[in-house]
Amino acid sequence: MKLKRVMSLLVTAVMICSLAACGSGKEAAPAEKEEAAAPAPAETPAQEEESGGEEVKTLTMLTFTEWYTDGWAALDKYINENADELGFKLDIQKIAGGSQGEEVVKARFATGDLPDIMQSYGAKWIDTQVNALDKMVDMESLPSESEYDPATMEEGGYRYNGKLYGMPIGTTSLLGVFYNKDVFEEAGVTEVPKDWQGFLDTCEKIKAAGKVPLYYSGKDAWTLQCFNHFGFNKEVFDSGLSYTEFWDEMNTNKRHYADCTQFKEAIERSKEMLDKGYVQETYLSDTYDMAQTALAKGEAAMYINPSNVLDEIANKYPEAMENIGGFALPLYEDSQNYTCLSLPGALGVTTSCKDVEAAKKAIDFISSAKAQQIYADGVAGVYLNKNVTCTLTPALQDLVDLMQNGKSIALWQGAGNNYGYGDFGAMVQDYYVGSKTVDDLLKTMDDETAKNAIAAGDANWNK
Amino acid sequence: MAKKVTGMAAEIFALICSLFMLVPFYMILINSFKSKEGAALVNLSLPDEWHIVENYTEMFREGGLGLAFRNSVLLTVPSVLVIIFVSSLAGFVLQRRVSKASKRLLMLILMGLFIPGQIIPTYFICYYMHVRTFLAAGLVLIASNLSMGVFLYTGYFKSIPRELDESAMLDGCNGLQLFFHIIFPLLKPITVTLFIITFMGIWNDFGTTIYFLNSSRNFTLTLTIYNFFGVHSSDWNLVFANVIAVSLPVIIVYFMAQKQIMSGMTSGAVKG
Amino acid sequence: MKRKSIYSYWMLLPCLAIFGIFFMLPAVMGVGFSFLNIRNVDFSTATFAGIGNYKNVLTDSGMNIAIKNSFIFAFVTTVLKVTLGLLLAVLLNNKLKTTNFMRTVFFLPAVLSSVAVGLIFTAMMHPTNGIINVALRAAGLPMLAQNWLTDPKLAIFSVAFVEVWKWTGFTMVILLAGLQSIPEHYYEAARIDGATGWQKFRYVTFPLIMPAFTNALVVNLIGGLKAFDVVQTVTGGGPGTATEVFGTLVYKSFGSGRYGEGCAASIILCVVILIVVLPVYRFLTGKEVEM
Repeated sequence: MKLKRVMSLLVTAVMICSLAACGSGKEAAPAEKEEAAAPAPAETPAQEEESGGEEVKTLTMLTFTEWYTDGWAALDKYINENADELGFKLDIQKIAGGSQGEEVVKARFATGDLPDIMQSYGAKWIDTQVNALDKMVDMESLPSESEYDPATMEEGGYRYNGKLYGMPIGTTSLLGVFYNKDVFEEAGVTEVPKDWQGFLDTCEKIKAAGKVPLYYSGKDAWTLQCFNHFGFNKEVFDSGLSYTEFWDEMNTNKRHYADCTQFKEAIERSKEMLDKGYVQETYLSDTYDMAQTALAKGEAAMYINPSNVLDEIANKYPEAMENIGGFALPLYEDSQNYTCLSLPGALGVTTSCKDVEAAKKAIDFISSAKAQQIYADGVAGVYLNKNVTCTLTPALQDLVDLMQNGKSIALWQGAGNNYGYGDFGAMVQDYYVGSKTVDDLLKTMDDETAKNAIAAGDANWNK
Repeated sequence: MAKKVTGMAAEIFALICSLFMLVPFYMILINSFKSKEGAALVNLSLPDEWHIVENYTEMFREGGLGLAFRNSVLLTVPSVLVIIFVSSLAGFVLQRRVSKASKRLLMLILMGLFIPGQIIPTYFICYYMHVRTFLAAGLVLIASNLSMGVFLYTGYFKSIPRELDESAMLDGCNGLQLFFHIIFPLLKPITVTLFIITFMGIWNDFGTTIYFLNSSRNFTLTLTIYNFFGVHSSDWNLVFANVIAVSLPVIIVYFMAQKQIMSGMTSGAVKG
Repeated sequence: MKRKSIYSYWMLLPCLAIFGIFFMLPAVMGVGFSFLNIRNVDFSTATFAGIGNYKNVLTDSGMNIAIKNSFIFAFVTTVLKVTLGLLLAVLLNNKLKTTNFMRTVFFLPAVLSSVAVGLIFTAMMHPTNGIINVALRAAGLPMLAQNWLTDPKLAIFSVAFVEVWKWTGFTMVILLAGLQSIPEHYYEAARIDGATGWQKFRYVTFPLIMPAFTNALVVNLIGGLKAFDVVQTVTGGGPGTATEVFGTLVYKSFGSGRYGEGCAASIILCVVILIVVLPVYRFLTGKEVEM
């Protein structure tokens, strides 16, 4: 009997010890932060919070791994090297993105297990997709805000309902058709197509020259959305409403995807490309990576994607960049073709932050021209800070020219719709392989929207 | 003689099959030696230029693998030991007892094989119990593997005769003594199997750890793959190098463990 | 009386405590959530949904395909994994020169992270550059070259193949453990009686590894119905919804941001598994012999 008790004590002890060994990892970890700053340059010990008399605040920050670009890495390094002078340093936590990563972030918002500073899609996302705007701090105003265009600050939701919930971080992405100039030339295409007929003619010439006119990377289904976004622009223009008014109607069950005739036509045109043999046959097996190679090596003439793809190509095929140009997909008459732009994410302070002033100071520095320039030296692109300069690749420059001539409209994804419409990429695949019609597809989008609205308890959707 | 020949034929056939199994591994390995452009094609050809040292050093540096390895071990080893310990004991009691209550409890635990784990409520429970990081991830992973452990052990106990317990009892053993001195050593093959299964499962876990190990300094090796995917989504050479580095420890563990199965057999531990 | 004191319920306590708090409790909460409208994971604004979530899942346009695919997938993979696994286990239970090598090689795929598996097989099954079609064409069999992952009729079988590749070695390990438990003298006795190799397998090996076989079969059947990782990384349920299975449907439900619906989907999956697996398990355990 006694032995039994001893044994069971032992059992418990073993359990507790082994668990404590797990638990102790938490305490032991900070001592090894040096190694953990990766993938940033790894030599910044973060544990000496108060070194050399001057108080250096360590602020925790959360971002998605995908957003931790070379630019961020450079800025992170700069901040940590100059922490004494700046008065703060960053401890950046990265979480793998995708829907699972977003789920984790949402769960952390729900429990309030948040870092001091949060990089997110912005206030609108936090408001409509996470229902947690109350966990973000209104920064009221920051000195560096003067370096940004007030209208853009509103449009991008950095200033949301009049409150400053975040400052832009990263580059603006522009949606365009990227084309290989050599392939165009070889096929005898002398000019970038300006309207739909011109686009079809271009494709025909390239096909005749034995190249793939338009590359689809359907294995990565998200890329299939790009073509159709251009159709949505027209939809908004033809409605005679402003962008905001249009989406107000969509978001209150007054207007539906199924009524969007221009959008529908764009989707049909994206299939017309397949039917006419303008897209490579293996498009469902081909990936985003393969598209970059095909475009850079001139196996394909055109590829439609947000301008981030240019960074990827530049990374792998730097010498190809001079040869790549960009234009807005000419679905319509010359004057009616617009590029879609998607503004960068935002950096905001959460209510879990103990020292809001320090965090605001940090964000102010990060948004300043000086810091943004460091970021921009790592990643060339379009920055909202007016004082940042960088050399753009020719393709991006082409799209920026369009934008500066007023030929751009905000991308609806995330900026327009309050409720998700489901996995558009998969729906389009179903349409392409013939298991769904366009009308089915649009109806599915409306159904998904309705389901999300009902789950949110939106009174405009009563069953 | 004829038997030997068929035996040889079977062995050779199996060897050929095993080579087919290795093709994907060859692809991962060979692509981890290539340049960025070469690896993006993901094919079987030998690299034009070999980038072994560059790729692996870059991957090790950027991935923070030293720390991640430590974290993986810290999470996996204690969790696996607890699973083996706790589920073998539970399986023993539940298989040996022939009462309604024990049958129901067994059913309840085995339900864990069917029931999907609900990570969000789990996360909330841990959060409000102030169970964090490694402890939380460990406990959750232990809990989600216990059903498997109990399932395998109860199956195995069926092949260990009850007479053994009874004779030990006559020698004056109590429950825990009986279990640790007599029964547990007999469980070696299934223990090793469970060890392999759970070690691998926890080492490769992503769905649970991503919730609890929430900063790069407590990332496990597996989480570094996802980290790599984010930052180096186009650097397949580094991603493949990372895959190799992450898988290697499990392969070594398996190799050593399965030798144990072999020795378990030769020692003829189970007497009928 | 004595028996009770030996097999004390105290020994169950650690198991029940951990399992109860960190698995069962959340699972039960999940059942509760499945009847609520929850946007994302914001429980403060949750409203009662009745069976609305279940209705949404059952009427999802991918549901029919998911049912069909899940059953095909579970059946094909279970049969292949268990048969091949048994063959390998019996073969590698012998002390051959290459036993250690082969046991390791066949198990290797199980070790690999599913992301890597998805990446590699997507590349290998590419219709033009993929090694499989390239090899078939080189072997003079171009008619066998297929759109492995994009032909909606074929894709689910291709994914099943990947699953078999990944997990057969694992099944082998479970069965090997079962083979170890067979006392050597049973074989001795059979040998003395002049039994052939097949007879030894049929009358000694198979009946005695029945418990391990049951385990392997049930684990694989559950795994096949629950399948998620491999499908998600190889095809993501696509093209379109062609390779949708229960697992990817549940994932999508959670991903939609309608948390209650995700819970409902996972519970429906659980019920389906129970309905399929329980009778199989009962049948198989009925056939077992206890030593």
